[in-house]
Amino acid sequence: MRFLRGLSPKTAENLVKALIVAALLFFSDAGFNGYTDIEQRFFVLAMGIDKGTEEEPYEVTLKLSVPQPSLSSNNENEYLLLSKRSRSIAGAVAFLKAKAGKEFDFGHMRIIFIGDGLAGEPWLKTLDWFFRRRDVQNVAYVAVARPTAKEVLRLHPDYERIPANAFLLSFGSEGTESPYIVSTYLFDMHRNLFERGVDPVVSIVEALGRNQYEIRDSYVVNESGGKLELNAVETGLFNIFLMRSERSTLVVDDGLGMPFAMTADEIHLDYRFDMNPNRPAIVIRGDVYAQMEEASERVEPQRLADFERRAERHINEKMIQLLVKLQRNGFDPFGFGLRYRAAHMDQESEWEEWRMIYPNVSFSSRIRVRLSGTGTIK
Amino acid sequence: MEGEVTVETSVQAEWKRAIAERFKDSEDFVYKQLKRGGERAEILFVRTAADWQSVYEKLVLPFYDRNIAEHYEDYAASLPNRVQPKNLGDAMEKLAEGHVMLDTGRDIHMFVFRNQPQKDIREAAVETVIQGPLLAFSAEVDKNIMLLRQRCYQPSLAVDLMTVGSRSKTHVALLYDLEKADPATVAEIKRRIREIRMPVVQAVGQLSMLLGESPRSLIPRVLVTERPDRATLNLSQGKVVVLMEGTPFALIAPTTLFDFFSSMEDIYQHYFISRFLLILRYFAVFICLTLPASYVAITAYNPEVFRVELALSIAGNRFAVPYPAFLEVFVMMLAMELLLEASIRLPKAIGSAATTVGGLILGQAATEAGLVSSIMIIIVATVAISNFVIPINSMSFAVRVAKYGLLAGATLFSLLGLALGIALMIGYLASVDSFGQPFLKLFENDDRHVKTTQHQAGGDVRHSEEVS
Amino acid sequence: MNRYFFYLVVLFFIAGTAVQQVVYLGAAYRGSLMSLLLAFAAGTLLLAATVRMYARFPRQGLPEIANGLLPRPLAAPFLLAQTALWFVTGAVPLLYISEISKRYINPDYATNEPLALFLAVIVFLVNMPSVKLLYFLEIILIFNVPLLVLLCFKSYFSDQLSSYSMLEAASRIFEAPNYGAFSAAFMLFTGCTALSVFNRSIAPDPAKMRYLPLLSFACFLLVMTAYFIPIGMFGADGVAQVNYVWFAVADTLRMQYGFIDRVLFVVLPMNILTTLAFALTAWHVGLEHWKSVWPAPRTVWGNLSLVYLPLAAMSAFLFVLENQLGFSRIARYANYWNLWHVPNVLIVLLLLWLAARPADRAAGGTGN
Repeated sequence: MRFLRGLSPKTAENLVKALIVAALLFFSDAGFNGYTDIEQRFFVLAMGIDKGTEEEPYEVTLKLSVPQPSLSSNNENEYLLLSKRSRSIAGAVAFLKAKAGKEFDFGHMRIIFIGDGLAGEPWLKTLDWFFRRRDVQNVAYVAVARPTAKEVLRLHPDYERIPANAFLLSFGSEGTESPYIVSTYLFDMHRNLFERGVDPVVSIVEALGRNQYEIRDSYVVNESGGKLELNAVETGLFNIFLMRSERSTLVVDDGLGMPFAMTADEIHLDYRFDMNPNRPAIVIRGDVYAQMEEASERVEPQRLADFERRAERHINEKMIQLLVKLQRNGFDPFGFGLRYRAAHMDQESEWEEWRMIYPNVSFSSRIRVRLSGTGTIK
Repeated sequence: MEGEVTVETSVQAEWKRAIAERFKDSEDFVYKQLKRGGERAEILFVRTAADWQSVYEKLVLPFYDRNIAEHYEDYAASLPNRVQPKNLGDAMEKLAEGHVMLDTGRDIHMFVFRNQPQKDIREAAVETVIQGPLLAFSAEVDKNIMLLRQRCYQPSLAVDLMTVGSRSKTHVALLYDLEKADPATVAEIKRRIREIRMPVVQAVGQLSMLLGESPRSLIPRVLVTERPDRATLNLSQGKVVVLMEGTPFALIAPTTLFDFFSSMEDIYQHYFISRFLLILRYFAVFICLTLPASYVAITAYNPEVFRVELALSIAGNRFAVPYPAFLEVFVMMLAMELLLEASIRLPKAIGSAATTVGGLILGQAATEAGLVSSIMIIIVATVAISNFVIPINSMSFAVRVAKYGLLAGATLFSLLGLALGIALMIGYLASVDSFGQPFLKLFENDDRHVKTTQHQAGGDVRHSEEVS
Repeated sequence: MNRYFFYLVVLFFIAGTAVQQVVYLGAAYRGSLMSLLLAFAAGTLLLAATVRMYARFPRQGLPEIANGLLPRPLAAPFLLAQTALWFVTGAVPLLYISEISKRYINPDYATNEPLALFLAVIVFLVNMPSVKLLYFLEIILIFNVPLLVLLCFKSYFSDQLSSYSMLEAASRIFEAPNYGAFSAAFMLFTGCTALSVFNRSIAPDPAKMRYLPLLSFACFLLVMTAYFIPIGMFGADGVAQVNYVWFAVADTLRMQYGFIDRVLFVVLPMNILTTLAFALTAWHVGLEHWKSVWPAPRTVWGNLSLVYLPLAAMSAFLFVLENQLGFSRIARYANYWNLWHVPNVLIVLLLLWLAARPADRAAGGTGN
């Protein structure tokens, strides 16, 4: 005790602090929890869920990367594909973890495939595991795989150096910018599934032979499990409407003249509600600034106006066709319902109102096309 | 002589009184009366600034020389190194600069007797600057005082001479600017020096620890420098400079954290260049402290922080390594420490060969043998290099030791340990005092009146003075 | 000088947002927007009132004022109540961030591990002089606030933000406000009440505080951002489903061309530091209140036990809480605790006003 009395105030204080800290760390069992070296982990780069059997409704496929000693020398794209059927996704993952032997790391999983068979099931239930897990990034891409996720995951294009990277390049803005690809993030799905007034859209990745795939069509889905397929042109229009793609190519082949194609550089689109109680209407207006990309014959600059008009008619017709198709099937990927709700202050009845109005809405589209040039040649 | 000014007696006396008053804190100020029979003369000069041997030869001896005696006044007036002070203030400055004032009873003369410093002053070895003064302190206190006086022609520069060490009786000089320095701080430092009870005190580093600012703490509270220009700058900022016999280094107290990261280069280069270099230095410290720790924290706990390509590359690199990441880091850094420590003591002949062997070949060979991953080599090299970007040695050592603490925190507790470790470090630095001044404080100056330590706050014992 | 006050206010904002956001965007969603606006108005008033009140007591903290005004039997319970409030205020974000750490940093953490680490740092740093704490705060905030601002900008310009969801939420503005959301948001503005201890070291001068409206407005913007961005990202209906809103939003952002891909891992350390600073400040204030209840101890060990016993007790209490109750229940209790902020603030202001009146009369009403 004399020792304790002889300490200077500072040292005594430090002693007390050290004791408290030691006690804290001891009683909380701290330190070294969860230490797993990086080479002891399997990185899951992509995951797919397919429809299974009656007893085991989910078939989970994981694409794991096998680390290479030196990434630059051998250009090999080593991966491991593991698959399991189970009653729940979590159960399948747990089983596969035991099978693989190493820890799974989902932190780099950037793409999630849902098999075509499951696209008609309620998406909230299918994606629940992904929403809940903390290590699955909110910015992972979601897509439908055709025919099955397993098939698609098996693909490894030659130019791909990291497993599943090709898909990432397709979906992300680092790779291509195609109007036929709808990049949907996981949180985007979550939002649109919950939000009344918007329905999510996901791209369909189709596996072709010989390690190739194609992304053309897409599905509009809603939370009760309905789905509607949009073909390539419709998908393109969807992207144009939401101004999501930077460059869109429009092909006009309407039989009124020679077919031609143009690239839209700048698209501005907006719509307006015309809420006449007898004849509710939605009017779409916009400007498309485009360049001629391909034509079958010479195009004189004076004749640009003809092409513009043809393009306008084409795009407006197609747009209205798409909108009517969506309306008839009861889907709303553009968010008309949400906007209606946003414009109205009465919370309880606005959604019911909209549900009654929507089937009766008439659409009109007044998109203008401006062709700014004929390319580098006339 | 042109412009000879005949100064009246009362004014002369007044001048001398004022000067004596001004210089009373400088123990190297000399005010001598020369008497010979009925003749009187008075000499005033600063011993370390003026070449007192010349003064003796040229002014004192002739006074006692029978041949010149009666004509001493004429003799004085005839000396070629005579200057005219414009007024009292000018006279004081000249005295501080190294002039000598001679009062022959009839006239006041001032002579230039400046000490020639430039010969046998050694070059700065430890703190070098690309473009700027290249000189360093020497081992003699007087010479160092002269060096400082030569750069700082301020009559307000006070000099206190003391000794430390009951047996070695080493000479110590305290310099500070009367107008700028905080008298409480000066008194405190003097008090602490006087209370040192060691028999032998040899080096300035030892002195700095004996001054009592937490010898067990990693962080240095006193700056050690060999550059007179840095000392001068600090004097003008109100700090106290302590010189000691036998060591060509000076102590500067009190200090703040930012002093340890400033190089004299910052003043000698253009604004943006010096700012860039300053940012570079802080960045280097950050890298040095956190890189090994974050490597372990990220690869062992959270590899999703990296991009996929990087994560896979590291995983591939580490494939062959038989032991866990933190051990790898620790062993490599230890090897680097051994190398650095050994390179201090290597004989010059072997020096460069050893560095090449250790650095390049061993590193390369170790990677090829699969003992360490190549990314580890990069990390260790980066850490070692950024360590030496820190201009002041003591802080550089502190960082070298501190990074192991962060490494331990990150290994045991992952990202949280790293972040909290950094917070703890910052908190500790903020709570530290250097001789009564807060050590870590951004944007200072607007709350001088706020009491930061227990002493000043008036004895509230319930606060701890510093954290440890 | 005044800038330290500014730091206190901003700190409460930043550290509190993550926690309180969960409250006002959660199940108690109806009427939150109006509650937020009301809280902003009330908060600005509080800011102005607190500064003016404390300006009448230069270099004095609330304990001194209370001890001067009230007789001992009243002052002691009052100060003890303040102590308890401040300790709990500091503890709630700690529990929250401990949970976050267990989810996002390392799911294998032991139940009490992150909390123990935070408490360890707090124990080390809490007993420093108040001014030093302010210096520490300055450094932490200077590094974190620009990051936060950058984050907000990045989220505003993200093209995943659904503006119609935000408009929909805005269209609910006239729903009746509810007290839960109001007090949750109000808590964010209570940074100025930390003056109850910091007034001893800094003396904010109201005359120099012309920027106060600007500060309020900036805080308001932050509250609005914290309200609308999650709605924009997760939808007006979906946002109530998200558990850890602030971090989930951070996870939706990507720095595609940056070194760290997921913004979450920038936000996590930032939040760790600010929460630590916040808990440290709150507990420091609580500790000072506690110290003022008892007479000054004369021995070194008496001194130390005065300071460290409550800290140890509080730590043990939090451990047990975390172990036994689990996070969702703690969150609910913490929401109830929020309800005390408004009454507490009113009581403190009343006290200050009462204490100032005699001086006012004596000085002929020269107050402010």
